[in-house]
Amino acid sequence: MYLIVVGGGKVGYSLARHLTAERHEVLLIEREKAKVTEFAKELGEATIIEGDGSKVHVLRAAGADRADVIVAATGEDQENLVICQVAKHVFRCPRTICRVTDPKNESIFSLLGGIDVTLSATRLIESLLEEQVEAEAGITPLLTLKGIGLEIIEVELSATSRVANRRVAQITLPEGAILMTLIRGDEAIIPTAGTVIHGGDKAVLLVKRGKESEVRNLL
Amino acid sequence: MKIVIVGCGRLGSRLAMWMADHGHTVVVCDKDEAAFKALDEKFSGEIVLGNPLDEEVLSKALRHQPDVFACLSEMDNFNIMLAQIAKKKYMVPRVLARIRDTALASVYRGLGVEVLCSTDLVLAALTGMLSA
Repeated sequence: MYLIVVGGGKVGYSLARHLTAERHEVLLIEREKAKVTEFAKELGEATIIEGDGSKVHVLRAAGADRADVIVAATGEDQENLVICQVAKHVFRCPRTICRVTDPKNESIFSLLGGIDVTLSATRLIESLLEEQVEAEAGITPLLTLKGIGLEIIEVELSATSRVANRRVAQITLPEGAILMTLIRGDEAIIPTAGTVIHGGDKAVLLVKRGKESEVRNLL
Repeated sequence: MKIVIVGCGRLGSRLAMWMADHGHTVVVCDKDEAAFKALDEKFSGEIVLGNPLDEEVLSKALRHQPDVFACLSEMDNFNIMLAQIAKKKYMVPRVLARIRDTALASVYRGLGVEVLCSTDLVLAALTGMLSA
């Protein structure tokens, strides 16, 4: 896979180094000459060029027309927007990833178009904190399905759980929750109506956002 | 006509004064307070101080539902982002963006904003003069 990373700050540099170690073909574009010289020593001459990545000719020289992914990782939101839009509209890049410093710009950028994924460190930390709060309530969030308000959670059932030793057909889950799998030891059980739930099982559920505590209270 | 002008530099300040002199309602916005010194003392328009990429500042500048929004700062990427926000989020009917880089100007010309590129404009004038 060929990836172009624009912006050699902490985020862009670490990303480029990580992707290179993963044996991807990576090119880093950085505006400051001093940083380019320094990174060339560490990453190798071939993986970095000097230039303003929001300029069409710089992206062309970087081979943007054959890039599978372009990551705009500078510290300036307006630069990152233009990098992604040029990558999309001029070079038809299949996947553009945009770092967003001001979390308010996440929704604005999805309105403006040309960006496949926005990443905001602030939002990321917020959602990790939310997950931490849930984890303390005995729920482990496994996956959040962004934008459609669903998540997959895991709930460990105690031996005294109200649903222990009952069949799946006998329990009524709140509306907006579906039991997907029971994990018993190393075994994953796809439940049917007759499956008996044991204390100590881990229940994996698909739930609507906001239903987590209701599910927790029932189980 | 109601117009909001972002960037009170040489170009923005003169457009603001000309529009105000010709009876239009003008709001001029700049993040640098010193920039407003370029305006005449008798300038009759409104001044909004702040960075219009900040939602509060932009809502204030746009609160009279302007017909035209002109991004005339010297920073291409700033103008490009702001123009698209004015067009797609605030639905301003006419949005103009100054883009100095000719390649970027041609990219954004097709994307719903009216692009002003001084190199292209001067080139058109020159070729016109020389072919006459």
